[in-house]
Amino acid sequence: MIQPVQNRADLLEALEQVRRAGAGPATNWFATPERIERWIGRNSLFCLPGDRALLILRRDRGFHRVYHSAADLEALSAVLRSLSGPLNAEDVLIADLVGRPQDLEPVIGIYRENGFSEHNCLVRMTRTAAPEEVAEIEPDVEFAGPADVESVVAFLCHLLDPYTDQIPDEDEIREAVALGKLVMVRRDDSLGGLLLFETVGVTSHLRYWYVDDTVRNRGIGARLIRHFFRLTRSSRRWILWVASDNSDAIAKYRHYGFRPDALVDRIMIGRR
Amino acid sequence: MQTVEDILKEIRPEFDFAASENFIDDGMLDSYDIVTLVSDLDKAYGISISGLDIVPENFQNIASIQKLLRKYGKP
Repeated sequence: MIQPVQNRADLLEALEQVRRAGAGPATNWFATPERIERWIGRNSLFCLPGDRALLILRRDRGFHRVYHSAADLEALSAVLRSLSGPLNAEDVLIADLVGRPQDLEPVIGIYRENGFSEHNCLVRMTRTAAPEEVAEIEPDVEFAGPADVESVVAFLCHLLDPYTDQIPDEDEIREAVALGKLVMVRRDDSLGGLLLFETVGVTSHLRYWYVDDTVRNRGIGARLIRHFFRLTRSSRRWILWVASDNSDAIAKYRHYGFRPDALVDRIMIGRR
Repeated sequence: MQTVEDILKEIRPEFDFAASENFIDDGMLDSYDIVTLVSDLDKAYGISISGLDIVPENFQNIASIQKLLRKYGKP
């Protein structure tokens, strides 16, 4: 039976029970404590315990994300089967399966057997080159402020696929603004382009880098990313995720020194 | 046999793991890299690391990974 997650300790205990049953790395649950607390605070996190397995469901923008922790593939299949009953018929389920392609195939097979199909595939790209010379100042690139939060969310919602892109909510944007991790270029009183990133230790994650269609080919994207490299020049590794069939974007990232690494994110979609 | 350092170097060749006491806080390994690392350690040492042991504190640095391997009877 699907239950709301009331606190992080209960969730960790449920995950621990699965691990005690012998779970190997059969999971796609990689949330940080901060994110778990945020989701619980919004009543958007649910779990479905099974025999030697646990499903975690997170309500997103009109659908649910599915995360699993399972002792083995058989336990995963059983708990996925048990998911078919409790949800509404129109519910869309999205599961991000992250790992090396060859390691993921068995898990993808289990999801397929339980009514999921592939929605998209992302590849991780990494840049490890030493920082190159970058301009000290990009004149029209500025840090986003609290007043920009609403327009940034609207901009991202307009551009992104909610199933694939994990669109940040207003709280996440506010946090990025407060930490100086969101830069933007304005054009005619509207948002021309933005770049949002996170840094942990020596790794910087380029999460979003977009230019509005109406102001493309004016160098905005280049100025944003040069500014990003300047802000993160003490990093040693830069990572991002991109759709595997987006050859234009991949070519652009290659131009800036990114190369595909070993990880992919196979995004599975199921409808109930 | 591959050493822990060899395996880490294959996953993230750009880093000097010996210089870090906390790979996760230092941004050298993330959750996804740990999944890859567990898979590589399993294959290299012929073991199956239990889910109970897949917690960040067992992958903080080379010494903690070696301690985990000793638990599975590997030097």
